Amino acid sequence: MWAFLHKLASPKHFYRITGRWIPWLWVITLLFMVPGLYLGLWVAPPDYQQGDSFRIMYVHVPAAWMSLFIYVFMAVTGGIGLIWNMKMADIMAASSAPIGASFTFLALVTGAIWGKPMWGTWWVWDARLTSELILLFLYLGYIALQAAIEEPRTAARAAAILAIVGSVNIPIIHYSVEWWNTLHQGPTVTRMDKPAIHPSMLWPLLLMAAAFQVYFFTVLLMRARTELLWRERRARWVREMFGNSTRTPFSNTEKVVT
Amino acid sequence: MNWQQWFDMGGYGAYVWSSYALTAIILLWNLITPIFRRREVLRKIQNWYRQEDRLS
Repeated sequence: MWAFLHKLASPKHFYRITGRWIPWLWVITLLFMVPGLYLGLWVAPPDYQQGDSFRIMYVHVPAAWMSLFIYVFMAVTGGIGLIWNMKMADIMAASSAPIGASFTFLALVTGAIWGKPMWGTWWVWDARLTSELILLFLYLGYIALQAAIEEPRTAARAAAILAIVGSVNIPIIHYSVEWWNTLHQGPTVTRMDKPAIHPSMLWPLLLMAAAFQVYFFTVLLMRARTELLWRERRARWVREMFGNSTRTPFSNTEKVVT
Repeated sequence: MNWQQWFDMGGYGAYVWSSYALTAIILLWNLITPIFRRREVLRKIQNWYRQEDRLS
């Protein structure tokens, strides 16, 4: 296990190994998403209070969960890069930011679309919604900070500190529905006792959450591999694979490798 | 349940389908941007090598 992780920390092996994973990760994403959509949009019965509008949950809740998960992932990989000076950790943290921002945006907008028919308003400045909006700004700040600093190591260090400091917002988002009075409903799945949701409605949610999770790692690896090529352009193996200069005249045949 | 009823979503069709449409857009965006970024980076790398060779 450790030997394998150690191998993954090497850019060259990371590039080779993850290249083989990506098609399979797409298959797994679809294996979760297709039944999730079928059960969620077709099989699950309408909610007795919310009617069919509750089906927005199957994209809203996984997106919101991912917005938190990706932020923690970004802070942890950023921290690893900060402490152990690991290039792959830096790349992972930087690559996850735009994906996390997009999921946060999705959670906010689908929440507004769901809020309109249920609460009668697109938006309220309550604890859950406001802290999730702050999360979006943290992601955008992180991306802007990365982009503002030319030297990759310095950029990674500064951004990692921002990510770690900003992670104080994560428990605030999670517990906001318990700590403050809010329009947003409380947790139904992650309760200590039995989830307050019928299995026919719960299954599609779990499938969609799993699909979003695998999807995240798939597009993350796609981004990370490209970012890695650019940062490792001085390395011999990158040049052998993608350089078509006079020094490596036969490397063009290698370009089919994706 | 027939198709018409299904699209109607008990009167919430506009809300439900716009949410799913936006989700599809976000998921596609996350797929397409790395593909374009990859093309751009490969082009940049090759230019960079050409420049390196000229200088050395």
